[in-house]
Amino acid sequence: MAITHDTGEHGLRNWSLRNRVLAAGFVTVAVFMVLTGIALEQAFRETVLTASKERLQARIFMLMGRTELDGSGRPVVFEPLPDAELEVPGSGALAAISNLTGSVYWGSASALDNVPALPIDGAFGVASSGSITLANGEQMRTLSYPVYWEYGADEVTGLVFHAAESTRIVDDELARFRDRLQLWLGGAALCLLALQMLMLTWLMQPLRKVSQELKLIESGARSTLGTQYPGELLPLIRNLNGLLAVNRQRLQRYRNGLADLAHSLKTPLAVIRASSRGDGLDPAVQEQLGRIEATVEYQLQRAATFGRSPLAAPVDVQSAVKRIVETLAKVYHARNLQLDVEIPPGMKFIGDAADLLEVLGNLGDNACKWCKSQVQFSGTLIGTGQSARLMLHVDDDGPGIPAELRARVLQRGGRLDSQTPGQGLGLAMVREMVVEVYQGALEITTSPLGGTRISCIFPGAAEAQA
Amino acid sequence: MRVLVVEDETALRQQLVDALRGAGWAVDQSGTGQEGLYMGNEFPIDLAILDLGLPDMDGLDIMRAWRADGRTFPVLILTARGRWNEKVMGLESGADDYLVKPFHIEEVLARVRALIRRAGGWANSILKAGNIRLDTASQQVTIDNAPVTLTAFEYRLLEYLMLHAGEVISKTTLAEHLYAEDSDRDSNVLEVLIGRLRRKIDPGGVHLPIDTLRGRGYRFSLERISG
Repeated sequence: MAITHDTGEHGLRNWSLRNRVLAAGFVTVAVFMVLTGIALEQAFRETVLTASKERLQARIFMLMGRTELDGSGRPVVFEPLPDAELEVPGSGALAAISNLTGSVYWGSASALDNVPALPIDGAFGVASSGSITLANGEQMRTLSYPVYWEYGADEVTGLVFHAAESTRIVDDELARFRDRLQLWLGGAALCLLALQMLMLTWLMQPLRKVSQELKLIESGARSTLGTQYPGELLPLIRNLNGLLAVNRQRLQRYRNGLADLAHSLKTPLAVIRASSRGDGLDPAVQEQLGRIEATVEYQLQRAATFGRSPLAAPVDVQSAVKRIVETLAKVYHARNLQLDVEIPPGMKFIGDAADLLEVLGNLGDNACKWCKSQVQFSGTLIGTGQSARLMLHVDDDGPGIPAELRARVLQRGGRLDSQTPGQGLGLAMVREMVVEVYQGALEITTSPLGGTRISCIFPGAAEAQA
Repeated sequence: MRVLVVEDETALRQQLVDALRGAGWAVDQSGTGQEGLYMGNEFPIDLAILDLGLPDMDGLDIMRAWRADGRTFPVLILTARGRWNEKVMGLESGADDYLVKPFHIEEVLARVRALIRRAGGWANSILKAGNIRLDTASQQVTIDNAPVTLTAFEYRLLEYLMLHAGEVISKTTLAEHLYAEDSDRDSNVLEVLIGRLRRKIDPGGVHLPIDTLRGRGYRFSLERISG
């Protein structure tokens, strides 16, 4: 039940919240920046074009101010002009004066006596824009201003004043603006995205906390989720805590109930057993009594086996084995057995701690009963990740179980000894727990110590977490 | 030897008490955890049989309380569940052995004998010291391989002294461990009994197995041979 951060490898549908918010934010910022860029550039272009037209107009007025007509009505321009660009060839600026048919009277020094044909149409007193292409391919934006000019005594002639400038002046300005705009908008977009990531981290913090606390619950470090959560999450947290508490209480009630049931069933059985000691019961009654005892024992053991439950902490195998070994050492004190533990530290069993003790206790007790002097507990992990399995061996140096009897001892009621009643159901119970509850396997082989080796294989295993 | 039985089921408790008395032990009994806890703390008992499923108190808590108060007598726990979890916790909290219900009374007696022997440092059910051999299971005593007939009380006296061989045991301690709480005790009677026991196990007065230490008590002084 661990919450994982899905990286989207199973398609969009499984995208994590974080990735969704990030992707949405990225698209929003990108669209916003592109539209803003287009709008700003349009506005700037209009401004630059207007400025260009105003520059041309100013040039025409300056030219008119420096022009007079001679006696024949031809314009004379007083040079040098204050506009230095008109004096430099290739500056991209141009000025000229023509008559109404287009014959050029005067051209600025920048035109090198090679004044191109300029548009002459348009109403008198109104400046009209146009464009031309020079012989070298350069595009020019033009402004023409036709006027009537009086000279001598009441004589009038028509003149057209021209001003032009290369389109590259405006284009350069636009390009510079565009570069700067991209720099700023790009920077702003990056800042916004970074800010969004920070906001997201802050926003997701409660969810991450839930996930961490669930992990702590799984590892057994705490039993409930905390209450320091935003209001939106609190109902969910409370429900989860409630569920955990109810689950624990139910388990505890169930366990208590089982203990009570065991106590109230077995104490009378113990009384009957003890009272039949001297006088001796009818053999048929004895037999039925034995059956009742075996059934009660079996069903109680079955009911007490829990198996795996979500949010349960993995159990440390080494410490469980050591507890069993210490118990066995006390119980079998008189026999002075050698009990060895070969379990690497940090090995974990995924399941119920009491179940593991039950398996180890039954196998260990069995081994101690049959061994000459030595019992060994060992464990290994097979495979890794999802296919990892935990393998536990209990070895003894006793007489061993002949191959043909091995299957029988694993069956219910198939014990080889007929010892004291009620002292555990032995291997059949262990087999049922391992195979049916934990979907594992139980094997009986010959031990390297010479006696019996019983191996339990549990699917799923966890290694020590650093 | 004095044994305490804490078990709430009256019939079962009575059976245990009868069997233990039959085996020659002085027995104190309690049907509740509180009383059992008190008796374990206050009475000079040699062993306790404790049921874990008491109605008023968790048996494990009684166990822990005894050990916390420095009581070192061996404890045999009786459990109904028989889950290893419970057995492990029982032994971890200071018990020495367990039995799962239902059990044969003989099994209880065998475990009790083994625990008492173990507490005295004897590993075997047959105690041998000097020329004396005492079989705790069959309660037979032989001197130089010849059987000796002892009364139940004489047997208990000898068993207690042999289990604590080498230790000085006061008359009060002897009386406390050989008689149950409600019995009549008289130290003069004890002296008479010791005298009678000496004559039975050392008729020639050669080996002098039981020393009298004036004002302090008695000591079984023959050297342990086995067990």
